[in-house]
Amino acid sequence: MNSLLPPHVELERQALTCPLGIRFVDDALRRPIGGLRVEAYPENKPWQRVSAVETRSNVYGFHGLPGLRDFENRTDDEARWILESPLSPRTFVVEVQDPEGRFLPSRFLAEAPARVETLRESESPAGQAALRTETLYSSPSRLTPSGCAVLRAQLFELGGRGGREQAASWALGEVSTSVGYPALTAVGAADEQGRLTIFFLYPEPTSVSTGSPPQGTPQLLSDQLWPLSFRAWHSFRSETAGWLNLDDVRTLLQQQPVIVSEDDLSPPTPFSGADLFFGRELVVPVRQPGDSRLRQLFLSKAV
Amino acid sequence: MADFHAIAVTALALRGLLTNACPRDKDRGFPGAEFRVFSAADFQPPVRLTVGGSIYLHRVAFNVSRRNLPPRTALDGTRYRPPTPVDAHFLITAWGSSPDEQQSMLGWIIRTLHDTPVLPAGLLNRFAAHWGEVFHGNEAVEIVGEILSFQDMLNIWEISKHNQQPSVSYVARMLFLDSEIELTEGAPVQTRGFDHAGIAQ
Repeated sequence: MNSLLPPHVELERQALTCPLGIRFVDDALRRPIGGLRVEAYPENKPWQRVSAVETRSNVYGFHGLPGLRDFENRTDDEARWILESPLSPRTFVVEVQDPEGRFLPSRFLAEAPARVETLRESESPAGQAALRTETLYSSPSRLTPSGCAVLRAQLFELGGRGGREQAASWALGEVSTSVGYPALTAVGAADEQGRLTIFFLYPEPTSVSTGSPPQGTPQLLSDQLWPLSFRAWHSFRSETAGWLNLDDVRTLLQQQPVIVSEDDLSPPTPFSGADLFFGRELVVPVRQPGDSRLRQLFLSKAV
Repeated sequence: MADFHAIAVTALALRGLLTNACPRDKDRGFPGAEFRVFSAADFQPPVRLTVGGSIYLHRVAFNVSRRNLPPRTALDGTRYRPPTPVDAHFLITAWGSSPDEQQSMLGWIIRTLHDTPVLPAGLLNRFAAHWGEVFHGNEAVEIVGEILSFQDMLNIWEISKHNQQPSVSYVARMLFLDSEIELTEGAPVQTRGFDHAGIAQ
C-alpha cells in the first residue's frame, strides 16, 4: 500500500530510558504491592533523593536519578547498555515507606542503570521480564488479611545492654510446619521496638474429612491446630536506623539462627514453637493460667 | 481469585464443614445426620433426608459494591482481565424426625456457621475434588447470615409450597470469578523512543 505521507527524512531521535525499576511483593498474600512511597538517592547524599513513579503493573520506576541524565537521554538503544566510565553503574540507597502502615519501612542498595531483560521463552514460559523484586515485611499495625493466620511476638535481647532491657530491633522470625499441604514456611521481621508480626496463609486443615459422615468425635474447624516451629535471626548490632535493611535480611537468613528463650531466668527456658489454632491469633510464648511471666521472647547468640 | 468452580466448591465446603462438625452422640447430638447440597427438585416430597441439613443455592447476584475491579496482577506481573465478584445466597434447611430435633439442628447449624465465618482457601480446596486448586492461596470466603423478607421466603418455597421447613439464609460474599484471559501487554518498557522527521525536498 502506498503511504499518503510525502517522502520524509529522519531529522532527530529522542529517547528516554528508565534506569531502574523495582517491584515489591507481599510475601503473605503473594501479590505485588501498590501505594508505596519509594525514593532513591546516591549513597551519603540523601538530599539528592528522587521519588519513583508507580506504573499500572505495580512497578516503581525512577527517572532523573543523579548522574544518569546522559544515560537516560542517549539515543542509541543498544550501545547505551555498554556501560563504561563515567556511566558505570552507580549505587543508590532505595527507601520504601508505606503511607498506609501495612509494611515496615525498608531500605536497600540498588545499582542503576539496571537493564530489565525479557527472558526468552525457554527460560520463562510466560516470557516475563527479569525485574528486580523485593519482599516487604508486614508491620504490627497491619490489619490481618481475611483468611490469614498471624503470629505475634515481642522480641528482646537476652540480658539487655548496659543493664537495660533492649528490644531486638529488626530481628527476623520464621514459622514453619510440615502438617498439611502445602508445607508452610513464612518469614517476618520485627519493627524497631522488637514487635514481630508474621502473616501467613492457613495450611490445609488435616482434621477435616472430605468423605461423609466421619466416625468418632466431631471435627470442628475451630479445633484444628497446626504445630508451628519458630526460629529467629538477629544481628545484635546497636544502631537502630529506623529502617529495616533488606540487604541485611538476606545476609542474616543465611546465617545460623539465634537461641530463642521464653524468659530471661537463669537458665532461660528454650522456646521452639507453639500450636496454631484456626481463627485465633497466636501470640507467643503461650502462657498457662497462673503463669505470671510476661509474654516476651528473648534472643541470644548461638554458641 | 477463584475459577468458575468457586460457587460449587463453596457449597461443598459448607456441606463438608457441617458434616465434620456435627456431633453424632445419642444424648446431645444427631445420630445419623446427613448434609447434602440440594437442587430445587430435591425439595419435592418424599425428601430423602431424615436428620441433617440441606444447602440450596437460591440466588446468585453480582456484587455491586465493587463492580469495577482492577485487573488481577499475578506475582510475575502478568495481568488478567478483572474478576467478576458475585454473592452466592444459600438457603440452609434443617431436617429432623421431630420438630424439636429439627429446631435443635437449625440452632446447631447457625452456631457452627457463626463460629467459622471465614472459610480459608486451604479448607475450600480440600472439597474441590478433581477440580484441583480452585481458590488461590490468598483467598477466603466470608459467610454472612442474611435476613430474608417474608415475601422472599415464600417465593423461595414456591418450589415446595406444602413442605416448607425451618431454614436460614447465608451469603457467601465476594466470590471472585477469575478470568484466565491475559491482558495483551508488551514487555515492560524501559526506553521510549521518538523519531522526528521532516518532508524531503
